Parts: sequence; C-alpha cells; structure tokens
Amino acid sequence: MFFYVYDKLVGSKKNTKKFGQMQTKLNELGILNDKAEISTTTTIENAVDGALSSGRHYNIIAVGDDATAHYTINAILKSNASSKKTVFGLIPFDPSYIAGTLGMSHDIEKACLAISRRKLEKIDIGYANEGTCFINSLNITCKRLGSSVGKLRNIFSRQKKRPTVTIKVRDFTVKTSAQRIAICNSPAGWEEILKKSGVSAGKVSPQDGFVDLITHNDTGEPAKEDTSFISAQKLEITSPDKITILADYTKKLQPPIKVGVGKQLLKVIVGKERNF
Amino acid sequence: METIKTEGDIETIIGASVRVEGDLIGQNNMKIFGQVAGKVQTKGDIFIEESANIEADVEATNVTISGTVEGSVKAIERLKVEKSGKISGDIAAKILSIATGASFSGQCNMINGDQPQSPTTTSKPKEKPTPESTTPPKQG
Repeated sequence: MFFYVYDKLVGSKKNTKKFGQMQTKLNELGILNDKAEISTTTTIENAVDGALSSGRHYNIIAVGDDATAHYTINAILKSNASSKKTVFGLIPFDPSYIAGTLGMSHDIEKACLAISRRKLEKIDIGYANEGTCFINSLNITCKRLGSSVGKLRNIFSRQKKRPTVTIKVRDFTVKTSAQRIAICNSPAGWEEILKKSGVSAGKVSPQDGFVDLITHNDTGEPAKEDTSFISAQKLEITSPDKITILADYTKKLQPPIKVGVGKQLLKVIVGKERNF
Repeated sequence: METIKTEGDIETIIGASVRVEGDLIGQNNMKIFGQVAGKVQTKGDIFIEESANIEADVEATNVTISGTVEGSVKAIERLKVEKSGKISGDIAAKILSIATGASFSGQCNMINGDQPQSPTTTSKPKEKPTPESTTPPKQG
C-alpha cells in the first residue's frame, strides 16, 4: 500500500491543476491509497510513524519539495516501525534537488508512473551529529559582516573577511574560506562545478559509502583551480566564525558538526534520470 | 550500478583557496593547487600545480611538480619538474626530468629497482641547459 505525505504547498492555488492531475493519474494506476496532509496538528513524523505502525503501508511517498522529502526521509529513518520493506518515493511539486538525485520527473504524470513502476535502489544516507539525516548534501553558507562598517570592510577586503571553515578529515584538516562549501552524498546542484574541475559526477555517488567534501571559489579564474574534492567516511566541521549549515537546502544546523554516512540505509523509488 | 571504493580511492583535488594540515594519504591520483603542510602520500600519481605551496614530504608513483615544494620528494617511477617547479629538499626517483628554468636544491637519489643508489649532491639551485632532459632508469 502507498501512503502519501502532502505538503501544504501541494494544496495551494497555483498547484490546483497539478494536484488534480496527480489524483487522477494515481487513481488510474490503482495506487491512490491513504494520505496525510501536513498541518500544524499533523507533523510529518507523526504521519509517517502512524502509517508505518499500521503495518499496511510500506511505500511512503512525499508529495512536495526538498523540505517535504527531507523531513519524510528523517521521519522514516527515525521511526521504530520502519523495516526492511519500507520504501521512500517523491512526487516533486516544486524545483527539487532530491528529485534530481532520484530521477523523478517534474512532469506529474511521469512521476506518478515512476512511482507505480516502483524501481528500487538502496542508497546511502549522510548524517549530521546523528540527529539529522540528509540524502543530498550539507551546504555551508558563510554570513558576511552585516553592519555598515562591516559591509565597507567586505567591499575593500572580500577575501579576507570571508569566514574560515575547518573540516577534519582522517589524519588532516582542511582550512578554507571558499565561497561554496558542501559535504555531498549526491552530486545534485554541483554537476557543473564538478565537470569544470574534471571530476565525473559519477564519483559523487549515494551508493559508494562515502560523502565528498567539495569547495569552490567563483573568482572569474578558471574554475579548475578553485575547486577541491576529497572523499571521506567521517568529517567534522568547525568554524570560529558565524556560519550556517543547511541539510538538503532545508534544515539549519550550527557547528560543530560530526558528519558520517550510513551505507545503503534507505530503499528509494527511482526514475530513469537518476544521477547515480 | 554500485561503485566500490576504498578509503581515499578517488581522485583528490586540493583547490587554490584551501590549506591542508596533517597527513594527506590516499590511494589514487591527487592534484594540488593550494597549500599543504605535513605529509603527502599516495599509491597513485601527484600533480603539484603552479599555484601550490607544499611544506611536506611527498611520495607517489609518479610526481609532476609545477609549484613549490619544501620537503623531500620520492617518486617510485617518474619525477617530472616543470619549468615553474621549485624543490627545496632531497629527491628520489627511477626516472627524472627537470625542465629549463626549474629550481632544485638538495640531494638526488636515483632509484634502480630494489637497489637504492647512493645520493648524488647537486648544485644549488640547478638549472638544466636543455629544454627538458630525461634520465632513464639505470640498468643493473
């Protein structure tokens, strides 16, 4: 049985037509089973745990964007009722990097077909401080100085004022003030930078048991010299400066953060265009 | 379509804006554009690019140096120093090539199979008169 977790955005006016199309297609395919619409009283955690605990639902399908998918995956992995049979799927309603990883089309009918075909792959899941799981990446965003004096300083000394991030990997530490820093389980959002750096996107795979540290500086120089790429199974992120770390472009985290990877922790429904 | 990797079994790139401190040890090829202080070692090849500044001992199968290295360099097979390359430290390799304009200060030890050769002291700094010369492995 399929259980659908709907985000509020799915019910918004702009999505009325798309929502109708989805309902019709799922009905045609015979896989329109139970659903839960997330609200202030129904959290994703409660909805997913309830569905899994019922023993009737193994296919948990998030309908929405990256946030819906991220919190649904976290709910599946945290639920005591989750089992080897549990499968995650996504029907994307907004631009979504996770949909890119799984190869789920933004064409609703194609996405519904992929869900009904139920082609499964086991993928790794990254975790941050053991409390947050991520399917795609942790993106480190550095806040620039906000005051007017600080802004002036930023103008005259852009590189110098960029916060420093330290990442401990195995027996060495990486110190960088790069504009973009990420720990990736999947190449989604980094394909172009990896290509310019001569690293095949296939080397950032959610099936290899590794996460990859990628840093990039966009200075107008050839990107090749401004990109770092290091694979690891464990990392630790710290910074003396004010930085924010976004898990799957969704959940904000603060350093220090210990990052690890759980090998093939989750069964997912994939489409033809998946990036691994 | 599962990819099987072992720790460090992938190309590692150290970007120009990055500084690495500690032992950077891997299995495959490494490209270094930034700074490294500590030790650099891989079973693959190392490319030390023009912008790189290495304060570390370097060891790999093949080593190509276009940047600056302060420390010993050991290439199990070939050590190639490009014209922009600068080495301050001892080097050891089976095959050595140093381009015109490169700088080298230290001792040179040619590796010949399992029999290490006695170190050869070189002038400081050394510049080769020809555009590029290659020393083939010595025959036993």
